[in-house]
Parts: sequence; C-alpha cells; structure tokens
Amino acid sequence: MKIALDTIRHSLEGAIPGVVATCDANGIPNVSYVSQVHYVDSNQVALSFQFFNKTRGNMLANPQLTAYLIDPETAARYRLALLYLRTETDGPLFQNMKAKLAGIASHTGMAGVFELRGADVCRVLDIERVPGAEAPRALPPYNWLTVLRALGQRVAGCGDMAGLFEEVLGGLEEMLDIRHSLLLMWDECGHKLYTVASRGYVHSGIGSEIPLGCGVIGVAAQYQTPIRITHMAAEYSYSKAVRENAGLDPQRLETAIPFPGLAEPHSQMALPLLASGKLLGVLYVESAQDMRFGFEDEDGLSVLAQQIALNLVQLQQAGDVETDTAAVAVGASPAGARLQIRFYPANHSVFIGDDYLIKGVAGAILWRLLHYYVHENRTEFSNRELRLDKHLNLPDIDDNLEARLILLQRRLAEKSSALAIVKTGRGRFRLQVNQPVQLLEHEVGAAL
Amino acid sequence: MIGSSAGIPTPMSTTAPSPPVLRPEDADFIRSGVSVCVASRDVRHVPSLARGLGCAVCDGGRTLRLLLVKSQSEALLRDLEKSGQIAVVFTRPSTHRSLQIKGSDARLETASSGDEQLVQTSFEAFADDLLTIGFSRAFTGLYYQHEKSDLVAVTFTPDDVFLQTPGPNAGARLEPLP
Repeated sequence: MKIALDTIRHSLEGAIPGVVATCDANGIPNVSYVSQVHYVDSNQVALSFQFFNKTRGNMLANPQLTAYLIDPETAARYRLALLYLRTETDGPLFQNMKAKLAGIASHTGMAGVFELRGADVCRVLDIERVPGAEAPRALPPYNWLTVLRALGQRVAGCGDMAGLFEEVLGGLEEMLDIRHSLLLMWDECGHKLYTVASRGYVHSGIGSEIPLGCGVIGVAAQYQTPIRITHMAAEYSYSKAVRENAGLDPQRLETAIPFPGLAEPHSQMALPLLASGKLLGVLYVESAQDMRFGFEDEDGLSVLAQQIALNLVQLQQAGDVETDTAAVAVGASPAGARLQIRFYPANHSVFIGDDYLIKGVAGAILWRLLHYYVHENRTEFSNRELRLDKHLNLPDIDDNLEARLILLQRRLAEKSSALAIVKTGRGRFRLQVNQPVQLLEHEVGAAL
Repeated sequence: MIGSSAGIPTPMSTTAPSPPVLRPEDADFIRSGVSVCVASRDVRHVPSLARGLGCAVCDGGRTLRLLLVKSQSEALLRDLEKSGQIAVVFTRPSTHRSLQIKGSDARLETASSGDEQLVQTSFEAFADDLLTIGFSRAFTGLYYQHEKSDLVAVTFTPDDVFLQTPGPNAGARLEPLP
C-alpha cells in the first residue's frame, strides 16, 4: 500500500534528525544528517539548508535524494525518495522552519551554529516503510476532531466579541489543558498587535503590544502563517524581540503595560486569525514544557483560528447594525473628591490621577467619551457614532472598534474604580463615572 | 565503466601496502557508541541509504567492516555490490561529533558470530549515549532487533575521511598523520 506523507508526520517533527543521501556527478555518494525534514504539504517536504556542504552541492547537481526518518515514539523507520525542486530564503515556509530550527538548536546546544539559510523544497516521490521492530503509539490525551466540534460550537454561539474571547481561551484550557493563552488584535495603522484577552498569567497584560515581525507572535502575523517552537529559543523571546525592534517609534508602542507571556516558554505557537486573506489578529498559546504542541495541535488550532476569524468578521459587521442612541441626560452627579484625568495628544495617552491607563486609539476614544460626559452630560454611546465621529478621526481601515472598546473596558476594570465601560446592547455601551472628574489636556509636545 | 568514474583517487588507495587514511582516534570513535548510516547509489546515480548496527576496524584501519540488516537495506546492498561506491557517516548523538568515510571497493560478506558480538557491544554503547539525551534503552533496542540470519557484513577500504560535526569546519577532509 502506498504510504501517504500525511500519515508519517510524527517522524517529521525534528525530534530525531533525518539522514539524507545524495550523489555527485561522478557517482560518489554522500550521506549526512539534516536538522529538519519539514512537512510542507501532502506531497512535499523541505530540508533545512544550514551549511554550504557536500549534500548541498550534490543536490544542486543531481536532484535525486534519499532520506531516512525515524518516528521518535514508535521507532518506525521510513525511507523517502525525494526530488529537489527549489530553495526558499524567505516567506512563510522559511520563517516556519527558521523558528523551529531555533528551538532545536537551543535544545541540542547548537544555538549560534544552526542557522537557517534556506528551505530546500523537495517533492516526495515515494515512501518506503523499513521493516523492523516498532513500539505501539500511546493513546493521545484527546481526540482533536471531537475537541474541534465542541470548541466550534462554543465559538459559533458567541453573540459578542468579549464573549468570543472568553470562550476561546476558556475552551482551550478546559478541553486541551492549554493554560497560558493570549488573543491579540491587529492594528493596521500602527503595524502592531495589541492584547485583548489573556488567560493563565498573574498580570493580564491587556493592552500590551507586539510589533509586527517580533517574536513568535509578530512573525506569525507578518507572514500570515502558524509559527510553532517546541523548545526554549532565546531569539524568539519577547524581551529580545522588543529590544531589537528599533524601527518602531517608542511613543507609539505600548511599553508601559508589560507583555504577560512566560519568561522562558519551552513551547510556543502563534496562529494568525485571517479572513479573506486579511489579518485580524493572532491566537497565541505557550507552555513551560518542551514539545507541548505537536503538528496535530497546529492543525487543530489552525482550524479553530479560521472559525474565530470568521466569527470576528460577523461580529464586526453586526456591531455597526444598530440605531443611533439618543443622548440621555446623566442622573445625579457622583459625589467625592475630584479626580484629575490627564490627556497627552502626542500619543493619545490617558492618566487617571498619577496612574497611566492607556494610549493610542483606545486613549483617544476614552478622552472623547469623557469630553461628551463633561460638556454634554452624556453617558450612553454607540459604536457607530464613534466610528463617524470626525473629531475622533478613527482610521477608515480600522475595523476593530469593538476590540478597542473591549481593551478600554478591561484596562479600566483593572486600573480604576472611578470609570467603567458597561455594554448596554449590541453596538451600545455606557460610560459609568463613579467620581467627579476634572479633565486636563496637555499641549502637544508636553513632557510626559 | 562505473568503476572508472568512481572514487576520488588518492595515493593511499592505489598503492599497497600503504598507511591507513584513518587516524587512530577516528578508528576509536567509529567503534564507540555511534550511529552508522550507509549510502551508495545505483547506475543512474540515485542514492540508496540504510542504517548499520556497528562497525569493526580491521587491518590497522585499512579495512572497515560494517554490519547491516539485509531486509532493511535491500536497495543499498544491491547498489554496493554493483558499484562498490560507499559513504558512511558515524555520529555520536549526544555531541553531534560526526565523521564521514568514503570508499569505492565495498563488498558484501557473510556475517559471523563475532559480528553478532560486535553488534551487541555497539548497542550497549549507543544506548548509553542515547539515554543521555532522553531516549530509553528499550527504544534504542528496537533498532538493534534482528534475526541472526538477516545480518550481513560490508567491508571496504577507507579512501577519504571528512569531519562532519556541524560548524565552520564541517566537510573538511581529515588527512592521515604522516
């Protein structure tokens, strides 16, 4: 029976390096180890090109290769007849393999030695199972299809975005025992991702930001591909990623809210949320355990990510379908000491008392709401009026107003008892002010 | 015809008796607990590949004797018989230290009871090394399971030795000591 590449993926995870035989133009064979024989699709694998060596020279002269793979659990052995097609030096496949290799290198003491130069894509012509003793595979901890069905139902049943975020992260923990997870939304104007939901951390990190291309999350967003690392890899740590991110204006990157992720994750996976080819955000999971996420988890979470993205689009569209909210007069003014709220237009940052709250689009929205509250006595608002508010000047391409409001709502809940955003219906909310406030707007250019 | 185009001619392999190309420390290395991967190629230069279970160093390093499982190496054995061309990589998994040795006169021989003993010794040493990087003895044992009648020996004269440990010197040819 012909063996399908899809059915031997356990041996393509890089736990045991593959062996590759080549032959030069003079008929001299060569054999060497290769760190990764990476699954590309049902018909192709890619070899990690790390060094200019004989294997590489031979491959370019004679594209016939034979690879030998071992299943790290069952010891099943496979011989693959390969035909070299091309080398990719950037793009999703390359980034995928680069991240994976970083984990392998660090785990095997080869950090700084193993560096991906290219992904050598090969067509799989044949797969032969080498006869030999094998151990049975242990039962998996869960059935992914069953999990997907249940998670899919939970996601589909969500009527609002905040509920969707909760269902996703809660579901991952309950059904897959994934205890550390984050959801980030894409800020197209700012070219960064901002955290809107998290689970499993001491500090929620809601509002923390990741620049495009930085770390596992930023690379997954930039290349619109899942990125999975099965061992600790220093070069994909958040601190290094941000440290090296010299290109983004620090005024515009949220640095006051620390990223909540584990200091030393041994397994990381980031999955882009894509709808019609457009990036909406990233789902991120991590673990302190090595090899916590396998290819089945990547496949399963990719399907879930697609469903999350579709639901996000639906909820975004639904968020605009509501009627204008008539201005409602505020009731009795709150009593107590007057609370100073300061606003710095340079980066739209808002401070409540001496405490930093938020900046960027969410900061600008809050300031506008407070302006209406103080000058027009209004507390009831709709998403739609914010979107149309010329003074607010929300970017046309930004479809994530609902996500911005969730971010604002959660930051307020964490940082202040004086203000709150309360959802009052689809596309509607109330600014709840529990203490008298005084608004102070600082001039552009004022020192923070 | 195949033989004439094969092999990198070196003074060592064409004149006999000659000093072995294998240095003593390399001979020690390939006999210790290392993985053994063997390649050849067919008449169309399509490579073949199998894993071996051990290696003996004979005649002061002038001949290497590899042990393989026939049923796991059919294409390779066929190619070795036909072309004589052989490349073997020896690797210690815990350190990545690797050597590749090439020859052009590979021939098949019947395995002896001494060869069986060598396979057992190789297993013990290889299993110890793999244990240090997290693979159980039982797992390693699966590779060494075979029928006695299924074991075959391949002997050849080493013509070339290459350092293949990952790093800047990978691929360097190791010259024998003068």
